[in-house]
Formats: sequence, structure tokens, C-alpha cells
Amino acid sequence: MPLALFRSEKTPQQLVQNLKSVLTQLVKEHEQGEQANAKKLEKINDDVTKYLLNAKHALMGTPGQEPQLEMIVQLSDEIHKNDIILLLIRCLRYIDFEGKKYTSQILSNLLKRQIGTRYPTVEYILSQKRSENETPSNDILDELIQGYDHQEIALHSGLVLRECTKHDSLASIVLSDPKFFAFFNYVEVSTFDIASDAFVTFKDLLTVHKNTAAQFLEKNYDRFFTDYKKLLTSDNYVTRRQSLKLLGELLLDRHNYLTMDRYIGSAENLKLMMTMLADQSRSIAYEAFHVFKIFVANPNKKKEVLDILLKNKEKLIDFLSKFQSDRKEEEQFHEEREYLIKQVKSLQRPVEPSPAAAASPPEQ
Amino acid sequence: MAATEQWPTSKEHYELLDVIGTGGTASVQIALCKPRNEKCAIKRIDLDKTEFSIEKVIEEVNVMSKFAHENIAQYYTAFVVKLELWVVMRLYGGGSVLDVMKHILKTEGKTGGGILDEVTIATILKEVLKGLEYVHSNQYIHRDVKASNILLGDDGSVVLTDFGGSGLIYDQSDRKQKTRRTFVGTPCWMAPEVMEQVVGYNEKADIWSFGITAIELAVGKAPYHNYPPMKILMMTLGRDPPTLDDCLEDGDNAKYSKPFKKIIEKCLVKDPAKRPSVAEIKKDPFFKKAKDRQWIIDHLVHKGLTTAKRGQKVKRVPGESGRLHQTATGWEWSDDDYDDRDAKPKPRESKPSSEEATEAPTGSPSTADPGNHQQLVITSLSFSAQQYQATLQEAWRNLALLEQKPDISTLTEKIKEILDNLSCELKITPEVVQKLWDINKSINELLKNTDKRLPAELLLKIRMRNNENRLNDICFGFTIGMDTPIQLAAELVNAGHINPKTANATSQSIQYIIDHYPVCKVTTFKLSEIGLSESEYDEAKLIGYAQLSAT
Repeated sequence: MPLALFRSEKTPQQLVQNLKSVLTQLVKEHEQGEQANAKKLEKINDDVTKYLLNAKHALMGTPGQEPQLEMIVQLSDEIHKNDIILLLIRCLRYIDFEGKKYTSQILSNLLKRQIGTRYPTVEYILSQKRSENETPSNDILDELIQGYDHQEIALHSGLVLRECTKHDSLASIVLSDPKFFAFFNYVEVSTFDIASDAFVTFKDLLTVHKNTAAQFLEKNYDRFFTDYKKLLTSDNYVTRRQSLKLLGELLLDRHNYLTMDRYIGSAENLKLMMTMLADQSRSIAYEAFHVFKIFVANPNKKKEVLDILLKNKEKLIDFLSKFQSDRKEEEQFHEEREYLIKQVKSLQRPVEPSPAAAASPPEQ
Repeated sequence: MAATEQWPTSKEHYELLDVIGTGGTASVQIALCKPRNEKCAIKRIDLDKTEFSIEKVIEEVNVMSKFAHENIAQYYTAFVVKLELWVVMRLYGGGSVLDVMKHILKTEGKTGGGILDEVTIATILKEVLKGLEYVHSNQYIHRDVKASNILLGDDGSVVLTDFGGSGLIYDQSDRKQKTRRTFVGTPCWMAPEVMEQVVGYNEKADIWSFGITAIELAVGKAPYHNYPPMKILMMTLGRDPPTLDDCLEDGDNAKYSKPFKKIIEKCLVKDPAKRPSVAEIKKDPFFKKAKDRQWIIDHLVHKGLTTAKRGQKVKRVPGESGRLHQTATGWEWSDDDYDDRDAKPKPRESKPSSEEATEAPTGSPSTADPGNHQQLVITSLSFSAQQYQATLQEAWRNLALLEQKPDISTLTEKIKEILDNLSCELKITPEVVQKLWDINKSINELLKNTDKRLPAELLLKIRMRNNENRLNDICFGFTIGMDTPIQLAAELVNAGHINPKTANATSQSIQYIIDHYPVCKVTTFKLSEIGLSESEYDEAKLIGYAQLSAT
């Protein structure tokens, strides 16, 4: 594509002003609803896409032409100064198909830009903290999260949100935002691509920044796992399979030790896993195996957990020895299976000191 | 483009009609979207197949949802139905170009070669190029361009489909060019650099496949189509690029012009850097021949099987089996449960009992060809296949060096034969891998010191049955430069170790071991005229056979 850069605008300032002006018009036109002038709207839309493409080329270059550093610096400064990011995200749903892609590419590029150890755009977003209220909410991040409510923009805002959450500082804001819990609905929407995109973001938030995520899980244990159970028992096969797999990863991560300890101390959780272990879907049963094994391997089993395991001891041995024994080239799985069978076989009720023994002093 | 005009995301809104294609884990079916009263195609992917990576499916859907172009199969939506993913797409009623070509072959009784005329080919390829240009401008590589992935709409539109293998070349936002190192595609259409996996590859890989597809459209088949995958890799890497003339009978040759052959030649350059980009090919005057959609309708869509004729009723509608709504389990949670279970025992198997429910609809016409379409054979082996292939390539390269040493030509012939066999292996078992490793080691040793290939004295052993029918070993030395096989065989006869009638076979076997050491250290030979009937001979038990080995 030939470089049509700045034919209509001489400087980055001009480009940003033009973009701001057409975006504002776009919103205005859409607010008129039915009365909107279709022709005028089309013209505005074309302009928006054109300016976006210009901005994209300025930031990212074109095939065969590297972007100029000075241009990048000036353009991103202007974008910050004019609060274009929030405006872009709010307008996203009105922008046309290709323009939406340009927008998410531009924003991701800005977020990745690094000067030394600093990320100017990340700092800019951090500075946008809402001052009027105490919770560390952030308009830009809020808008991005809510992008999942709108089919036509979900994947684009999702991409930008994931770019944000690569940074611990922004990820912790999202985790402490009550809106985070909306993810439990987003990952289960019926449109597959949106649900799976939301799940990737959800997973990133819980696994990328280990300490932040671990603290979040400890602090929000009850609410989180109450909601999480709904995912595990969802009617949607993909939701169940993915959430079960993620659960295994979370529990086995040593940062989440406290959370794991609590989770595997619950008989309810064990029952859920054993039910899933017997699921008719092979993949679900397999994932459940990897959570179930943690319950069995736990050296300090709570009584309620041990009771259930003991009650099912014979069945479990029988079940495990037949469990997906046809899996090929998975030595580790078979080793773990053998190990579990051994563990279950050796399960026994702890020798409780008998009242008599406790009462009488040890001999000698 | 309004890719987001709402398409419903639950199965009640669709009425499934004919199956138009099936593959290993997916099938494609025509469906009527009831609220829109519009037909569409639904690709149904079985997600519960073992080792099926949901992530890969997600990536494919994600790519499709980001494309909106008249030459890309239009994606509408996707949703989960029980254990399946339903991907709803626009219906392209003309079927794939491959289907149409096959149909023409069948109905017009042609035997192959010159199936499509040049104008039609130009028209198809021009549209494919527009689609590819869009894919590349979005920083993706298609990675599986071929006639079976080009679909025709009832309106004459030509679109690229199947983004299952497509990959992102650049990071979307920072344009630092990434090259891919994954092994994806279908061997016949695969570019050499994709096979080699040494330097990685970029969008130019699609240009190679485009060139192969151009040949395919004229010939009806891709070059090397009847060879096994490994062999195709070897031939693509080891030979000059295929040309249209190579692939056509002389009579059919004349049907195609120089400019067309030239375009193919330009695309099939082994060095990707020297291959043209889509934009460059598009400018070629050859495409002035291209016609419009009406041409496609008249010449292909109407000739091909329409979906109506092609389809076959689906026998079972998966997703109806209700397998997920299982409530009772065989576990005991508490003493209450136990009592309850005792009251009305519900025996339950620990394994899924309804195996047949996991099967994709059967009996559907298969659009997948055996042989050259077996993409899965290689990709599913992932790591080990790649390793295998890399070692194989190394062996072939080293063999080329060995071939320059004329004094061991019998040996190199033997190695070549072994490598040829190994290159044709479809199933890579540990034994096959071991064989390859061994031969590669031998080649390397030979390369290092060809002249020291043989030790000063070779210790040989003949194992054969004696007069009491017991296995007996005869050991002797062969001094290089002094002994000859014939002389040695004579000595063995004189010493009464072997029957004079077998002297000839013995000396030939000694020569064989000397020529092929260290690649071959063991050989067996038949002992003729020793009074056995043909049915008594048994090589494995060494009845009527002797084994000669070097230690």
C-alpha cells in the first residue's frame, strides 16, 4: 500500500486534532439515532478509518518502511494529551470493520512502547484513576472490560485489555475492580469467539502476575470459588473443560498454596471433582483427574475429605486402575495414576487415641 | 462490512440439512437459519476427541472473525452444542474447485490433464490472489492454499477457506517481523522452506502453494501427488521445482500459454526472497485474461455438482444424545447416599458406555483424498516427526557428499536405497527412527574416514546348519588387500566347512559385506541344490539359508 501519510495533515498534532474531531462527530451523529444522516455518517466513517490508518502507519510503519522514532514520540504524546484513548474505546462500536482492527492495533502498539524501563501509555492510563471515589477504578479499564458486553467490539477491546493486563499495575486494578466478576458471565456467553477471548483474559489475570493473583484469590476466596463452581458445572462443554483445566493450574501453582490448601480441605470440592472424574467426556474426566490427584496426595487430609475417600476406597482403586489406561505416550499420566492407586490403597483411618489409652498414663 | 449482523447462537434456530463434507474430527453441513430464513454452512467440530486442543480451534475461529473480504469465506458466528463446536459460515454452493474438477473428469470422461482452460484458471487465480493479499495485509499466512480450499459461491464468487493452519506472521501491533517455525500444510503444496524448518518462513510460503495450485488447476493433481508425504518432502527439497510441462502429457501441453507457465515458474522459486509478492504477481499481464463471476457460474458452478446433488442426509444428529446431562454418579458421599443406593441399586459403568455417540456422522461422502491430502500424518506427530525429518534431511545431504567418493559407490547405492525406504515411511515407529539414527551415524563415520572404512582384518562368521541340522558358527578372518572372496570361499570348501555348490553364493556374500561395511554387517544367502524342496526353505530359521556377519 503506498504511503499516504499526512497528505491531509502536516503534523502529528494535526492528525490527532483531525481524528478527535471526526470521532466527536461520529458520536454526535450516532446519538441522533434514527435521524442520523446516512450519507454524512458514511463520510465521517471513511474519515475516521483514514485517520486511523494514517496513525497506524505512523506508529508501525508500512511494508518496506520503518516508522520514524520522532514521529512515534510526538504522536503518542499528542494522543495522551488529548485523551484520545478513552475516546477511541468509547467510539469503537461505531467504527467500521477494518477501522476497529486499526484501533486495537494502535492501542496495543502504544501500550507496548517502552522508553528505558518506562511505559508511557501504561503510566498515562494509571494517571487516569478516578479521583472522586475510593476504589481504584479506572475509566479506560472499565470501558475495556465492558467491551465484552458488545459483540461487535468484544474481540478488539479484549485484545487491548490483555495488552494492559500484561502490566502488573494495571492487572491489579482490574482484579480489584468489582467489574472483574462480570468475567464469570463473559466467559460463558453463547458466542464462542467472545467467550473464549474473555476466558483468555480471565486466565491471564489469574496466572500472569503470580503474587497479585495469589493475593486476590486469598482475599476473595469465597466469592471467587462460589462463582467458579458455576463455571465447573456449566452446561457449556467448553466452559467446563477450560475452567477445570485452569483450576488445576491454579491449585498446582505454589504461589497459590494457601488457596489450594483451603480448596482441597473441602469435601464439597472433592465430591465435585469425583463427579467430574466420572464424566462421560473423556477430556473432562482427564482434566478432573489432575485436580482430584491433589486431594489424594495431600498428606494432611481433613477428616471430611478422608471419610469420602475411605468410603469409596475399593471403588476408587477399581476405577483408577481402568481409568483411561489406553492413553498412549503419556508416561507421566500413567505414573501418576499408579501413584494414586497406591495412595488410595494405603488410605486408613488415623489411629485415634482410644479414650482408655488417653485416660491412663503410659506405662512405666 | 457487516460481519456482526446477528446470527443466532443456539441450535434451535438452525435446521440441519445435507452433509457436504466430512473429515477426521469435523463435518460440514448445510443448514437453514430459521429466523433469517437463510441457508448457511455449519462446520461441526468434535471437541472431545482426545488430545484435541481447544486452543487451536479458538485460534482458527479468531482468525476467521477478523476477516471480512469478498475472497475469504465469510464467517458468521460460532457456538457450542453439547460436545461440538458449530461454526456458522456463508454457504458456497458451488463446492470446492477440486470437487468441480473431479466432477468434470467424471462426467466428461477426461483422463486428466487440461481439465480447466486457461481463462477459467486465470479467473480463479486472480480472485485467490485478492484473498491472499487481504490475508497478508492482515499479517497472516494462510499456509494451506490448494484447490480443495478454494470454494465457489452460487453467485460466482471465489473464496479461500480453511484457516485451521493459518498463522500470524507479525505481532499485530509492533510489526517486528516474526517468522514461523511450525510445520503446517499439506506436503504436495508445501514450500521448501516450510519443510526445511531451518530459517523459518513468511507469507512467501503461500506464493509457492499458489504456484502448485496453478499446476493443480491445469493438471487436476498436484505434482508428486501419488507419493507418500516423506517422499514428497524429499523430492521437493532435492529436485528442481516442478514445472507445468513436467506434469502434463505432451498433447495437453499445447493447451497452455507461455505466460501461464512463466507465472508458475516465478512462484516456484526455491528461495522465498526471490519469489514475487502477491502485489507483484497480480500485475502480471496473464491476469488480463481473467473474466468475471458470470464466467465462473457458467463454466464451473453449473458444471459442478450443486450442493443439492452432492449432499446426503445425515443419519444421526449429534448433540441430541444428552450425554452431558448426567446426574447420578457411582460415588458415595455419606451414609445416607449409601442407604439410598442400597434401596435401588443403579449399577453404573465407570467408562462411557455410549461409544457410538462420539462418532461423527458416518456414511457421508468423503471429500478428503487419501495419499497426497494426508496432512495429519505429519502434523499430528509434531515433535518426533520434525526430528525425524530433520535427521532424514541431514542424511540425504551427507549422502550427496559421500557420492563424490567414487570408490565406495556400491555402498552409497545401498545407503540411498535405505534412505529411500525411510523417506517413504508413513508410520514413524521407534524402530524406524532407530534405523534412521543408525544409518545416519554410519554415513557420518564414513564421511569422517572413508579410507579407514574397513579394518585391517575383518572378522567374519557364517552361521548355518550342519549335517545334524544344528546351528553351527564358522569364524574366519578376511585380511584387506590380501584375501579375495573367491579364494576364501574355496578355502572354506577345502576345509570341508561348506558345500562346494554353495561356494559361489558364499563368495558373493563376502563381497557384499566388504562393499557395504559398516552400513551392512549382516546378510543371509540361500544355499541352493542341497536337496531341500522349495517349501522347506525358511530364511528366519536358517533352514536352507546361511547368515554371514562381520563382527
